[in-house]
Amino acid sequence: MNGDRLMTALQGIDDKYLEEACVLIGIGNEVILKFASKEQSCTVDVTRSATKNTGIHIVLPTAACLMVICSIIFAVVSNTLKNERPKPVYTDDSTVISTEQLSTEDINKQLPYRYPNDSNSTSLLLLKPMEIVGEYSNQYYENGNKDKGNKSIRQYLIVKAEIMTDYYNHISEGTEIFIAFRLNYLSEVGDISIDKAGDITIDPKEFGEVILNLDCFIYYIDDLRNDTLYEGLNGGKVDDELVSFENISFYSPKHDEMIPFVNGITDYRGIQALLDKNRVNRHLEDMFKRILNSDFSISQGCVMDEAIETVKKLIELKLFGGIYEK
Amino acid sequence: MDDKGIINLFFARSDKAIDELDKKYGKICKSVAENVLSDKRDAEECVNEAYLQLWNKIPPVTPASLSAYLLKAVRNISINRHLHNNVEKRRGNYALCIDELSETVAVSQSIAEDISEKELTSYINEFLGTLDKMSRVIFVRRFWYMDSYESIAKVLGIKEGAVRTRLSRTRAKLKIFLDERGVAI
Repeated sequence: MNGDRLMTALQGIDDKYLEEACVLIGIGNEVILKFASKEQSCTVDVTRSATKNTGIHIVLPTAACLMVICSIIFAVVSNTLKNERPKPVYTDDSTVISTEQLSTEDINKQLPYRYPNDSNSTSLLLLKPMEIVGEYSNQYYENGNKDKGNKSIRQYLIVKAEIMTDYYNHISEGTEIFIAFRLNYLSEVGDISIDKAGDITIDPKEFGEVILNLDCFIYYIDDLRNDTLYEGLNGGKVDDELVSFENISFYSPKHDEMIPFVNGITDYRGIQALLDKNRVNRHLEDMFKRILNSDFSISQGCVMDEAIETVKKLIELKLFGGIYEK
Repeated sequence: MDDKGIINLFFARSDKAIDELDKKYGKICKSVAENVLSDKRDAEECVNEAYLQLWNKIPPVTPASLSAYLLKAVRNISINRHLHNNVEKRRGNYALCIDELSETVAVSQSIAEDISEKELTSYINEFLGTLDKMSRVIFVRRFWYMDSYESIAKVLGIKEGAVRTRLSRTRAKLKIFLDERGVAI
């Protein structure tokens, strides 16, 4: 009887919830088709080959290499977004204000409250992988020496994901991000675990770098040897659809370095840089133009040709452009 | 064709209105009806009946959301058909959903008689607003669209077990929510 009454009452629920479920399923179908497509089997092969490459040593300055790769993708997204209105930032009292209205002083005032530097605090970020956007690889020389080092290849898988929870009220639920997983760097450390609820946690020590801004950011994880994580990304074959991340850092164009993001923001210089969106966009646009207009390569023999080709292809396919359409 | 165009066809009393409606929403309407009835022929009849209902109501009604308006009609007609067909013997997803929702309120409890359906709907709307998007979609897909666990898992790209777990947690939350508001006594 109770169930009957609840079912009857459900008939009158808000139209917006019906539409939401309807639309999401529509999108979900597309995503599943892409995940299930045989065309994606190449990514499975990448993982398999990665499992064999246990002997690879990454001795390049990782930050410099990843920074450029991050920038390529970030630049595309930034280009797409540059004409959009400023994204909101949430202050302590949850008042929405524009990024342009925040002065450095404002930020300094707010940070101690918004980002507690407490060793007990956690900064879990729940993500729902949505779609494998593409993959690319780049070559590099071990020891960073073009003449003496052995040539190796790094392979990445770019995955679009949606943030499932607010992150310190700073990044909103529903924000879409790109994650680039490096596939062929393996570790013997048991650093990825799945709890009973199905959440996947990755040890902060194993994190690579991340670019972050208010609209999107890109994770780099140096270890994707764990098949269950990969399966989770490749169609949700693990116990749940969520991936949890702790402890990130991001690239600050202003300081041209990676800023740690441990237990909240311990160094807020990066946030200032992030909020200085014009500077960020200019930097990324310049970087992007350089990459597209030349045979760009960075030091240490890290050739980016394949990455560039992949990005070009993604632009052609309008994969980036379509992602922010609501 | 967008919803506005379809509504305009209804207002113009054009037969194409039904064609366009069916082209755009026919599949999901049949899915909802089949979920309730577990019988394709019955489901088709219910969908056609819902189309006729819309034909008779538009105009003068101009639905704010054509999809929600249509789906509500389909669900309502299908449930009535189900109750008519199964006075004694319950079957299909509708019956399963009722059983699951019954567990939300403990056996020793019942929903207070003086709570009207409208109030209960309002509580459920409020409750849905407290859920994260994924949990809400799963809940609505299960108890409104009456999708099977397998189907929800498939379209959302997650495991069936994950759907069950989330739904179980959501039902537990709903129980607490209703308890706190004195709905279950």
